[in-house]
Parts: sequence; structure tokens; C-alpha cells
Amino acid sequence: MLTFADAETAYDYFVESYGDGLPVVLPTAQRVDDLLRACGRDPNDVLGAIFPSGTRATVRDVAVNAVMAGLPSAAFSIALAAVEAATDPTFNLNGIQSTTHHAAPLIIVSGPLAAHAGMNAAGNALGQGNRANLTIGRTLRLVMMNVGGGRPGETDMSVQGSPAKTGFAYAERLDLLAWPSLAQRQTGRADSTTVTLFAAEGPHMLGDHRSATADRLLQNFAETMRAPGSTNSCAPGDMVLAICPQHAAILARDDFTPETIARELFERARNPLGFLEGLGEFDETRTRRFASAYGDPNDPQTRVPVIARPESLIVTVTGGTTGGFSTVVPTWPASTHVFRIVRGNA
Amino acid sequence: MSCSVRDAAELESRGVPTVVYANDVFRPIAYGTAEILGFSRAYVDENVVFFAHPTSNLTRSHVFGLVDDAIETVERALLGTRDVVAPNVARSTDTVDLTEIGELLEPLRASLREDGATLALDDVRAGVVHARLEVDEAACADGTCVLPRRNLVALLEAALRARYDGMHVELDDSRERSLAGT
Amino acid sequence: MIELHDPRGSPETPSVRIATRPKSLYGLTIGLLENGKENADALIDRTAELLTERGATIVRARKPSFSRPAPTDVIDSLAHCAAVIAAHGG
Repeated sequence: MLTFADAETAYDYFVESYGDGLPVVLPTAQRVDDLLRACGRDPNDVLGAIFPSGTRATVRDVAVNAVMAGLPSAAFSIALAAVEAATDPTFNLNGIQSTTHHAAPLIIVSGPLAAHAGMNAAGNALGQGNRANLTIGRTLRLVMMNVGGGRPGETDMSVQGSPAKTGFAYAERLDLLAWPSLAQRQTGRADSTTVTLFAAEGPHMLGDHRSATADRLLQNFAETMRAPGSTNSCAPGDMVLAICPQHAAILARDDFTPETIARELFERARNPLGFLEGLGEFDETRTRRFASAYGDPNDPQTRVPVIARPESLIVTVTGGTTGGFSTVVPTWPASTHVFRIVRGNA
Repeated sequence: MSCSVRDAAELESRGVPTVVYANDVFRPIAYGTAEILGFSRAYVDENVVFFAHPTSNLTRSHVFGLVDDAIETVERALLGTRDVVAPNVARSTDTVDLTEIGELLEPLRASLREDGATLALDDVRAGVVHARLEVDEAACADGTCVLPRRNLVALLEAALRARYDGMHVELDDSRERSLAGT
Repeated sequence: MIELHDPRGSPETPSVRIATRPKSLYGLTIGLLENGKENADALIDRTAELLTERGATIVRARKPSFSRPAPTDVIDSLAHCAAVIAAHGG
């Protein structure tokens, strides 16, 4: 425990030394205990090592940072699952914490516990106005900064960062889903809730109110996905599609499923080597090595996909019904997405 | 960069002396990672050879030239005989005198003078600079046109730490004295 | 007085070991580990030439990803070297 002369001194110290730039709630014993009681897990349970410091985060450590972030207790089990996912070596947290890239962890929550936690999956699902959405992402960021020691200018070398680095979480919209949820596809169970953790570049909107067919709509998705500035263009990796309900309805009506959408976009969202050569992040050795998996690495006609495999595309549905605006989120390809099942609150 | 320092730590633990090449913009993360792994900052000064950033867009012959210039440093680093004079690296506060501090802080003191305040330096001992801020009441009656104490101290310490390791500032602020008297 | 939880958790102090340095490069086997970032190969190519002139034998290795620590097999391939230079381009 840390001792301070008074609450005002403590507040200034916490905001300055342990904050992310926003005001924080002070983690008193009472507040932390309340959160721990709500989740019913042993506070000393170790979730895993948070790099770069390598400090092993316990359930209690997450609760302390969750209190600071203002997390509602109903969302604590989701935050715990997100932290647990972040410790998976596949996710490469050490790299995400220290890279010059703008990568930020995106937390996608799929399943019934998202609504239980109070998350918004309707209008503004990726935006402001919902405490659970914002503080789930912020809790993970504070754990990364305080337990993990990832601090801008010291160990975090991001050139510009991104607004997503403050916290980026959204929930899948279940009531309008025409196909199994992301969680169901991951676990095989309709009642399970998962968090999927993904190294996100800034989200890019995809507006389309003209396409009446899946074919035309998917072409717009493919063109947006293959933007040459994103790291995916020269180093294929994961990508997230947050499809709005209006677009999802067109795709479902034309008999597309998340699997066939991914297969179709794996084929369509490609750049010919001849286009990439001499452009942006094209690397004579590296890009050609990637290209060799998809064709002759010396043929300018070889088409290099922006997603490594169809399974690299995370297809989700979220947002309101007032228009045709979806979102594409490219990645930092040195990280691969991971998911964890959320344990229900006791 | 963080990963290269981790590789070095792994190799060192297996008994293999290791030298890391890195671009100079990664100096902070080299220090940060070294400290996290339990090394001192001196490990970085002695075993990381820095090149001017960026190197990614240089021609091959240009990069060869950089290595030609650096190779003697590399050799000394491998042998552990490097005479470390790292630029902008904090040094011990033991031998600091007040004149040096005054010169270092002069740009900040000049801007304070423009705002109607004087920063006097009284003493430096054991890594703490004792300073006094006098606000000219005529220029600014309540002293609010000068930086708040907390921000001012942070700025002074940041300026000092660019050259000295862990230097602190104790500020006697005349604005607080006048508040206490009212 | 107010008591608050420390948000940093309980960091463990790692124990480190620094290898003993050789007396001369002559006759040594020196490993060169390239991390794959832009121009790291050029840094390593020239270093190899200059160290060979100084009487060292060169072993080269390459990391599959510059964004992750080297995998165990890469570290293993360098563990017999008298010294290693890890080159990070960028």
C-alpha cells in the first residue's frame, strides 16, 4: 500500500505518476475490495506476465487499475479476460508496448456477458457515451502502463500513437446477427462470451449506401482493406471488420457467412507486386518472401493479400441501423490475435 | 530495439558477450529495457553502438561507411574496453557547481524574467538545487502570470536531468509566502 | 493520511549475469545476428568483412521477426560463439 498525507496529494500523485492523462479514481482498499467481491475470484490468482516489465499481474492488480479507470463492477470479468489474453505470447505484448508502430490493443467482446456488463453494441459502438466500452479498454491500458511499465518516451516508442491507445473496446451486436456470433464460432457454444484481443491500427471507416449486392459491397471492402499505407499491405497479417447491421443484412441476404466473407476478401483484397514495388513499406527481401507464399515472388503480377489467411480476418457485426458505415481495422503484423472465454461474474 | 536488448540479455546469461547496434532514437528504450531486465544504464553505454537515425533509407554504401566509422568502437565494446562518453547521458551530481547549473537554466530564467519573476539559485548539494522564486508584485500582482510552482519545478528538473542524473529542485516560492501571510 | 493500493503490482528484481569479455578478437568466432529491419543486413555484411580482417571467424544468424525476441533455436546457434553482435536497423 502507498501512504499519502491527504487525498488531494494522493490524487495529484496518481494522475501524474500512474495515469494515462485523464483523471483517475483513487484505488482505496474499500473500492478495490468491492470490485474483487463482485468477481468472486481469488485476488492472488496470477493472470500472467505483463511485458516489458514482466511483472506477473494478479486479479488484485487488475482490480486496482480497474478502479482507477472507473470500470463498472459488472464489466470486471471482461477486463480480466482481456488482461489474461494480453499475456499470451502469440499476442506479442512486449512488441506492442515498445513498437514505433501505432498499434493498440482492441478488445472485441462477443456474447451475452457484453450486455450484462452494460456495453453498447448499437449506435456509436466504437465511440463515446458508454462507460463500460470506454473503461474496459482503459483498464487494460492502465495495466499495461503500471504493471507492464509501458510508458511513452521511456519504453513506448510509438511515433504518433493513436486515440485507440487510450482504450479501444467494442461489443458485437447479437440481436441483428444473421449468423453465429464470433464467440460461438470460436468456442462452438452459443452461450459463451469471449474477448478477442487484436493489435489495432487506427480504425478506418467504410461508407457505402449504393451497393445493393454483396458482390459490389465486398469490392468496396477489399479496396479499403488494401490501402498501401497500412503495414498489412507489405506484410500480410490479421485485420478486423466491424460490419454495420445494414451492410451485414446485404451480405446475409446474398448467402454470405463470416467464413465466406473472409475467403472472398482474402482473394480480392490483394495488391500486385508490381504496384507495391517502390511504394511505401515494400521491402525487396521481406515483401518478396511473403509474396512467395502466394505466387512467384519475382512476377509483378503476383497478387499479395493483405490478410495472411482467410482466418486472419475477424468478422464482426456492430453499430446502429441508421446507415451504411462499417469499419476496417488493419493491424501490426508482428502480433496475432488471441481470444479468451469470459468467466461469468459470481 | 527492446527485443534486441532482450536477446543480448539472453546471450549474456549464456556466457556470450554481446554488443547491440541500434539507431540513436532508441536510446531511451535501450535504457528502459536494460533497467527492466536488471542491467544498469552503464550496460547500454558500454555495449550498445548507436547510429544516427534513420538508417532504413540509406544506400548500402552509405551504411558501409557508417560501419567503417564505428568499427573501432565496436571492437572496444566487444573487448569491454570502450571509453564511454555517451552524448546527453546523465552524469553524477557530485561535482556540479552553481555556475554550471545557472548556465543550464538560463533560458528558463530568462523567460521567467520576461514574466516579471526572478529565479535565484542559492545552493546545490547532494543532488538538490535550492532555488528561490521572487515575483515582482508590480508586474503581476497575484503571481499567476508565472508558471504554477508544480509545473515550474517539473520544467527545471527536466532541464537539469538532461545533463545530470536524478537532480531535484527545492523551490522557495514567494507566492506561497504571500498566501500564507494573508 | 490516506492509504492506496499500488497499481504497479509486485515487480520482481531480476538477477542478471554479464559475460566475461575476450582479450582480443583474433581467432575468435563471432556471431552476427541480423534482426531483419531495413538495412540491418548491410550493417552486418560490412561488420563481417571488417571483423574477418581482424582475424575473427564469422557465424551469421537471422531473426524471423524483428518485433519479437529471437527464438531459442536462433540463440542456440550462437551460444558457442565467443561474442555476438546483434544488429537492429531502422
